[in-house]
Amino acid sequence: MKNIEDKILKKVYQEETKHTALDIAFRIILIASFGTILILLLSVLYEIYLEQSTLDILQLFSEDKEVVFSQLGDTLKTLYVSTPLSILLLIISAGLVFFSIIYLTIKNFRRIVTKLKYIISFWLKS
Amino acid sequence: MGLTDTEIIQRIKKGEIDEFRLIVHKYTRPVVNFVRQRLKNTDDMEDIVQLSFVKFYKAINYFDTSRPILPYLLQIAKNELKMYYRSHKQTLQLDETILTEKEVSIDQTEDIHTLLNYLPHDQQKALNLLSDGYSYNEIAHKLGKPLNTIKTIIRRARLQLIKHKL
Repeated sequence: MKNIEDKILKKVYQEETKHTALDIAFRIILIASFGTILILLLSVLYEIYLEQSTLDILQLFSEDKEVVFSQLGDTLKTLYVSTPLSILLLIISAGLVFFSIIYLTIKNFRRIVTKLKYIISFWLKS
Repeated sequence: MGLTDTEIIQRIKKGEIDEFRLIVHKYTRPVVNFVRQRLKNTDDMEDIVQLSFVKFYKAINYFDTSRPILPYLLQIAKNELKMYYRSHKQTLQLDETILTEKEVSIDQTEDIHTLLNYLPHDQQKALNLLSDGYSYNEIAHKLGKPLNTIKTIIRRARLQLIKHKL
C-alpha cells in the first residue's frame, strides 16, 4: 500500500509542478506584456504632449499652493482636452488589466510561495 | 489530535499541498479495494487508483467540504473504470462474405416472397419499395405517410419476417 501511496503522491506533485510552473509563467508573461503596452502608450502620450507643448501648463505646480489649488481644475481640464480619446481609453484599459493582474498576483502570492516551497522540498527529498 | 478532512482540504486550498499526503494515506486502501473488486490486472488497477486521486486533487478547489471525501473518490474511480472498460472493449470481427444476387438460391427468394404474403398490405408495400432502393423519405412521400410511421412499419415488417422465419 505504501508503494501505491508514494506513486500517487509523485503523480500529484508532477501535476502540481506543471500547473504551478504554467501559472507563474502565465502571470509573468501577462504582467510583462501589459506593462510594456502601458509604457509604450504612456510614451506615445508624452510625445504628443511634447509636440503640443501641453506640458508647459505643469509649470503651474511651481507656483504657490493657493494658485495651484485655484487653477488645478482648469489645468486638468486642459490636459484632458489635449489628450486623444483613443489613447486615453487604451491607457485606461491596459492600466486596469495590468493592475488587476498585479492585485491578483499579490493576493495569491502567499499561496503560490507555499506551494513552491512544498514542491521544491518534495523533489529534493525524492 | 489529527486534522479533519475539511481542515485538510482547506489547508490544501491555501497552498499546503503536502497535506494531500494525509488524504492519500487515509483513502488509498478503500479505493484500492473498490477497484480491485472490479479489475484483476494489478498494473491497470494501480493506474486507475492513481488517476482517481490525481483527478480528485485537480478538483479540490471546487470540492464542497461539507460532503464526505470517500464517496466522491469512489465515484471518480467508478468513472475511470468505465473509461477503462470502454477503451478495452473487445470487438468481434464481422464475417465479410458478400452475398451476390446469383448466390441467393431460388428457394430463398421464394421463401421471402411467401413470407411477404403473411405481412399486412402497407408493410409489404414499404418493404418492396425499400428493396427497390427507395430511401425512407421517398417511401414516406410515395405512400403519403409521415417518416416516423414508415420507420415503424418497416421495423414491424422486419420483426414479423424474423418471427415467421424462426
